[in-house]
Amino acid sequence: MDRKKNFTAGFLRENPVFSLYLGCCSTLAITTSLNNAIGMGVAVIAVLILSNVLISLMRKITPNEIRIPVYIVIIAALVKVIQMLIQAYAQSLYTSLGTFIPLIVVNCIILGRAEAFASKNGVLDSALDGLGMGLGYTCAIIVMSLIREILATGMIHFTNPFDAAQVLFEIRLIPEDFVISLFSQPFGAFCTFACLAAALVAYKDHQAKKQERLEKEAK
Amino acid sequence: MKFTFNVSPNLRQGQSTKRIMFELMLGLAVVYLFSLFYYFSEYGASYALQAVLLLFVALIVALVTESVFALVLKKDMKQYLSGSFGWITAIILTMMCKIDITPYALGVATFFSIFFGKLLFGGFGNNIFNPAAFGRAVIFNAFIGATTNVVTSATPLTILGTNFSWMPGTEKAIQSMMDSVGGITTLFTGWYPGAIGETSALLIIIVGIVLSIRHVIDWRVPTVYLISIFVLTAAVALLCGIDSYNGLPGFIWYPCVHVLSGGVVFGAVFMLTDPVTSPTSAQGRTLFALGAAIITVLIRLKANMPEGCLYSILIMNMLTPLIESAMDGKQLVVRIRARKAFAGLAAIGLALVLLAASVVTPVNEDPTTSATNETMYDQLINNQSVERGGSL
Repeated sequence: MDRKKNFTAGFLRENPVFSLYLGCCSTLAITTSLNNAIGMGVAVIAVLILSNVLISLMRKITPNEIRIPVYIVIIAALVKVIQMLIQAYAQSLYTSLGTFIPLIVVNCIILGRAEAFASKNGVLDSALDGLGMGLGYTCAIIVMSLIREILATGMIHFTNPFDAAQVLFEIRLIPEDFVISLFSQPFGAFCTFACLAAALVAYKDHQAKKQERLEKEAK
Repeated sequence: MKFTFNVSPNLRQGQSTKRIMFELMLGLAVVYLFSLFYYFSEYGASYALQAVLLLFVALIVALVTESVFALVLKKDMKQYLSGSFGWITAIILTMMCKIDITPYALGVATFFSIFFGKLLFGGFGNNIFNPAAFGRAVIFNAFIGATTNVVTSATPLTILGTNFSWMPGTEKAIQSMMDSVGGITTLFTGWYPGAIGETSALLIIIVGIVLSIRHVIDWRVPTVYLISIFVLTAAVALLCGIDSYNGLPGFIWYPCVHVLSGGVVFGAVFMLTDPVTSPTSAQGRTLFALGAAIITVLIRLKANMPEGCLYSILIMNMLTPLIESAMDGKQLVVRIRARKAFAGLAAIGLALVLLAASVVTPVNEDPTTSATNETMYDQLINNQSVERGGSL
């Protein structure tokens, strides 16, 4: 039960992007297209699970004073591996994500989970936490990139990440005359981010009030 | 003792915000009607109808946005609407657009300006940026190519900014430049295509004087703004040795063109004077206007867009709290400080503008006739960035 709660926390209640405001930099920068968002999400999930597992394994032998450098070294090594994999097998994704792949190292979600969760919990729990948080991050950036892509280009467009020429699906939702190109620019990123974060806060507020009312009635 | 706390504008005398906004609206309506008359007599009824349609769309979007917001917040809708003045934003925004903009683009921009520019900051009185300027910036960035088939010829602003870089070098270039914009008199009366509401400098100045006498707007802001632009560009003309035109020496006609073209006069009278987003003290307002003038001239001369009035307003809106806090304190101390700040800012601005002007390459050839430049001109006309020249 507790395990399940930990796993689902990352989706809404403790969504790393819209609730904890971690990893905003990459979120704002790469959510211009669905391809980028999914690629980034998968990379972050992989790094997050592996780093959580490794750090959890090493938690007993890591001296407390130097734990942050140890985490950073582990995370950086993993990111380098992922970066090389992406460069080898998904060249177009590599070019479109650009510098934001190496910047996964400083993505606060990963260091945050290592510090807050993996350094205190067992291996299986940490892996689940990594998966949950990673999926939460991925959901957040997919939602954001969908909104931005639809408003800015009028269509949803998804290509095979391993072969840029192969278009998996493409639907036009808004006629070309009515697109708002502003949403592919940084202003659009901030705008979407703020609106979604506000919506999540409103939702949590609503839930809390409901909970309170239920508790009062129970008394 | 009882203190009352209200958001700006805080008024003395027998005025109310409602009356001020009503009179401002009348002033805007006069300018708008002139523009309707121009399009009707010059291009025909369909153009005038297009202008009316644009205004209508902007007004509807503004009212619907505010009503929905009031509904969601569960506020008294009638009271909220009458205290929010969304229609002023809608009117000003419409008047800043060229007539060939699509109603859809204007509608989206109005929504952005009302919702993101004003309501999310806490409604009328709490907004940092002038909502209309915010909406115009949205159009700049999102709908550059969104034009209908209602076509007008290139505006003087486009010609000045794109073809001449605001810097004609020889007598021939000056002659062709003034021919293509139609001379100073045309610029003054406003009988030329441009943004819907900002062409007629003469009419806007008259309206501005009337509004200043009735204390609707502060006379200091437009006066300081326009005079500063005049002085700065006159200095540029002297430094770059711009030739005389029709007997008028360069340091007279060149600043005149700067002041009269584009959205400078409109921005000075209707946007910089916005009581919400400009400083409250007289000293603050002079500094505010001077800063805006410097930024306008700098953007015109050196940036890659033809007009700088809009962004100068937005940038100075950001600096308003800084000016407010700098101009706070004992009155006599503040007065001395304001004088020093004004002199310092003027000196820095002059130096910057002259530096910018010295690195702009003057256009010596006549770009509209020579063969090599003909294609360049066509490219520029086709280039979407030309559309930016529409207004502010």
